[in-house]
Amino acid sequence: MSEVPPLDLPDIQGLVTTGYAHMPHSRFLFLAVADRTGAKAWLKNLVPEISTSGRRASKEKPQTAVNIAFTARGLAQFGMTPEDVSTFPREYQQGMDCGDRSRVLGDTGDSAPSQWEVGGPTTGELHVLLLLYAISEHGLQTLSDRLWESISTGSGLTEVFRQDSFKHSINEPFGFRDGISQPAIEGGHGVVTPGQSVLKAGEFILGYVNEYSVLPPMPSVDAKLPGSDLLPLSAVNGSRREFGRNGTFLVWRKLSQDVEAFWEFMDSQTRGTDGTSDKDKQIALASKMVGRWPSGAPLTLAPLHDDPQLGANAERNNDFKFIANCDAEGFACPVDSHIRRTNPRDTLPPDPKKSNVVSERHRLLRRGRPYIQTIPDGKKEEGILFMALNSDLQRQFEFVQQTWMNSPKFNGLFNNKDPLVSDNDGTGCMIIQDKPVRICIQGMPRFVQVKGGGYFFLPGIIALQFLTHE
Amino acid sequence: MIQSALTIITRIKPEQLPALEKLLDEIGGSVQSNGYIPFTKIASLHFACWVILKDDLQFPPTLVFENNHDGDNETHLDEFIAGSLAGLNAIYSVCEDYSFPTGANPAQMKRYLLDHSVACPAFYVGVPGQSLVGIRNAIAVRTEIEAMLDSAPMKGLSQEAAYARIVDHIRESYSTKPIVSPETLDQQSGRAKRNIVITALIGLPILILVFPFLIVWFIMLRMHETKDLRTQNKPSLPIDPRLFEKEDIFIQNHLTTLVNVKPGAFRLYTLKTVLWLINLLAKTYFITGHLGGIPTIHFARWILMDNDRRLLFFSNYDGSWASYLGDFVDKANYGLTGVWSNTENFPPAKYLFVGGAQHIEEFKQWSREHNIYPPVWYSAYPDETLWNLQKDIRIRDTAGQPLQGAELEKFLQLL
Ligand code: HEM
Repeated sequence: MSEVPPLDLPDIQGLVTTGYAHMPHSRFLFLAVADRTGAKAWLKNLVPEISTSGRRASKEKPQTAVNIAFTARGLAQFGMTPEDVSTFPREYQQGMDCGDRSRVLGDTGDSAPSQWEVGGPTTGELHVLLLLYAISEHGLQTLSDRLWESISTGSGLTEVFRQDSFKHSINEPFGFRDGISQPAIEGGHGVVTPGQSVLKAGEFILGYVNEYSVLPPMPSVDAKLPGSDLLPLSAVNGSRREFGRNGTFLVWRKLSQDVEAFWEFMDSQTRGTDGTSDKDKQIALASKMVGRWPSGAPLTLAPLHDDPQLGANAERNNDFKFIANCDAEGFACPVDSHIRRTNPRDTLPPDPKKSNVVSERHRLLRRGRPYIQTIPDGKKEEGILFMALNSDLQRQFEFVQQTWMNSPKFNGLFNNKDPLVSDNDGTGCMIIQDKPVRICIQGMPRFVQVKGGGYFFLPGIIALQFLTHE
Repeated sequence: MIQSALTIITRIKPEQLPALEKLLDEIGGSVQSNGYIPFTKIASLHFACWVILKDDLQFPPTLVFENNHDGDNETHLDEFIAGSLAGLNAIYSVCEDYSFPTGANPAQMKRYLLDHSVACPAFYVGVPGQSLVGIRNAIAVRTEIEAMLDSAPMKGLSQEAAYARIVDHIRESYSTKPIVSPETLDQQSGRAKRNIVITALIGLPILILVFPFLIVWFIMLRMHETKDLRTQNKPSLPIDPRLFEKEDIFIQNHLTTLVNVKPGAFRLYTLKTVLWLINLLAKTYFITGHLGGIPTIHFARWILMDNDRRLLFFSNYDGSWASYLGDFVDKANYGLTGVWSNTENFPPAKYLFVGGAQHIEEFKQWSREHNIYPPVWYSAYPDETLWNLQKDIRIRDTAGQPLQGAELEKFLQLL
């Protein structure tokens, strides 16, 4: 076994190694560059404030955190040449709102980019995403005001959109515990819980070997560029320098959840013959869709009813596979359910051993946060600000969404999509494995709509310094 | 019924290229209902595709037709030509060697096509022995059962009672009478196991006999590979943007990959041997619905053309391009590297089979750069996966048999 090279933690932004769980307040500022010189000067002042993974390793608990990410257009605004930007993968260069990507992601109808509040073709170009976190509302406001002041006073940047989030609960808006199953990074400093996979750093950070035992493609810049000598020389091409090292891709999507429709649907499907509602049955059906009970207890380990102790126990709530835990057919956790699609564990063909390997090649570091807001007609809109980190947008995020969640043929099914989060349109159905034969829930609506989003790159600290160079 | 692969290669009259592209785009734009080729009416046609090869200026512009059909080429062409003569004349009148001023008659067209058809060194079939009629029947039987289950849920019934209802329902349904396969899927997998034992028994002594040659070959291979590494200067090629427009419209997709064989006899004969081996395995062992572990390929073939200077790969597969290429790497990278490491621009390989397709990103990039846009692509069942078909066939072939216990449970869970 070759030795694992240590992670260059001080060069890696904090969000890669932590979700800042102890900071429930966050704000996402979407900025556009109006003047390059001003923007570079602003970034130069900001770089020392960016939270890194190194700071976290030193065990002190900071009160606030700041991270920064760029769209492909944003990098160009900061002066990257078209040739250099073209070393990034196609998906990132195109951006999430491009037609090709919408088809892959199922962003159609009301979820099409033309309908978006942010990141769409008519909502203003996004260049920079500033991610702010704080332990208190007051702390967030102070941080935000201070940064805002530096932005508004002639920085060459303008605000396009802002989104606030307060993580008031461990449950997502439908009422299910979220943020349970998460891969760990090899060489990272987190505690590994039973059942948690430890993946090669190259799955989440550029510059390290990935689960295929190769280095992910490295975005690079011309070595002759002034200022580029900060960056390490490319190992494969002496005329290039590695811009991508210690960076990664950030998927940001605002997903609104129709909580009312969700529970009404469960009710309509579970009413007794006399028309009475049955809360337990509603929860049981919704849990079949998720693959976990509201407490987080996995159906495979708790087939008949919720087990809150299991759900809350991080030592046990993710320590399972499907086939290995006698759920090959899906009688406990349906093949169609959200968690069995987004991480099929040992259920892909041709066999469990191979499946374990393949499943690990499509994992995400999820960093999502909930949001709630009042919309014009006075109603409340709730949802998730879905955020995921990965080193390969196509192989990880898009793959999970296209080939696993939105595919009506997932794992041998005939015509069913992810019941919780797919681009269902009211015509599909959900299949629940049962005896003597499967149950089919007809007319599955789309419970989750896309309200906006973008593909961002979260550079390493040195790469940020390079961007500030005039 | 045996499925066959037909490949027809013709040179395009260069000045007619734009006209042909326009015609093929028109046909491909409404492939189910175009006025030239009534694909859906051809009862022996599973898949069909026309591609134009024109970017490599070392070769004259070329039209390649490939299809997958039931029965032998001649009988199939009779059926194909009967309904499409005018369309075929429109397409082939812009090609070289076509000398029918008033249009070819059916016999002339058949002769012309057969004269330009080429042999297929490696051919793989996902569900061997299943005719299009049989496949449609299997889909119909399963759909019929599903509709019945949805209209009368069986919650609370015993397995036996549920099964009895299903069997009765099929028996009474006069529209969909099951046409049971001559060889069941279980018999097929039994045959695959026997075949691999026989192949090993015959192959092992041969291997021992040719061992000295293998050593010489291996040394030569390593010399070639070291030289390739030194001289490899991989140009970045443009990717055809039209590829993306034709993808992910249906569940199935089509892939055409065109590459140049590395110069020299050594690479060519190595390539031919690997293709021969793949073909042998495709006929004997990969008869149970996977090609080297990839479970999503309906049909695939490799063709050598232009005096063995170019290698074409055609396949019809399920799901997205990204998942297909991922499967290549996850499950079949050795075999694919064994083929494509003999061709130019492929990511560097070692020992013929190692490396190459393991470099997932480079491999994907290589694939995209060498993918050919298919202006016309037809599938007779574009929204059925191979996995679906295998379940359909199993359901149709077993429904009605006396089943009990675990066997019965397995049957009911297919639905
Ligand atoms: C509003 C939309 C969504 C809701 C309400 C939701 C809800 C959930 C819940 C309740 C869990 C189980 C708890 C856990 O393991 O953390 C989960 C797991 C997961 N979700 Fe989602 N999700 C949403 C969108 C997405 C999207 C868009 C993706 C990816 C494209 C995704 C990927 C995953 C993954 C990878 C897991 C972990 C599966 C595992 O490893 O077992 N989710 N989600």
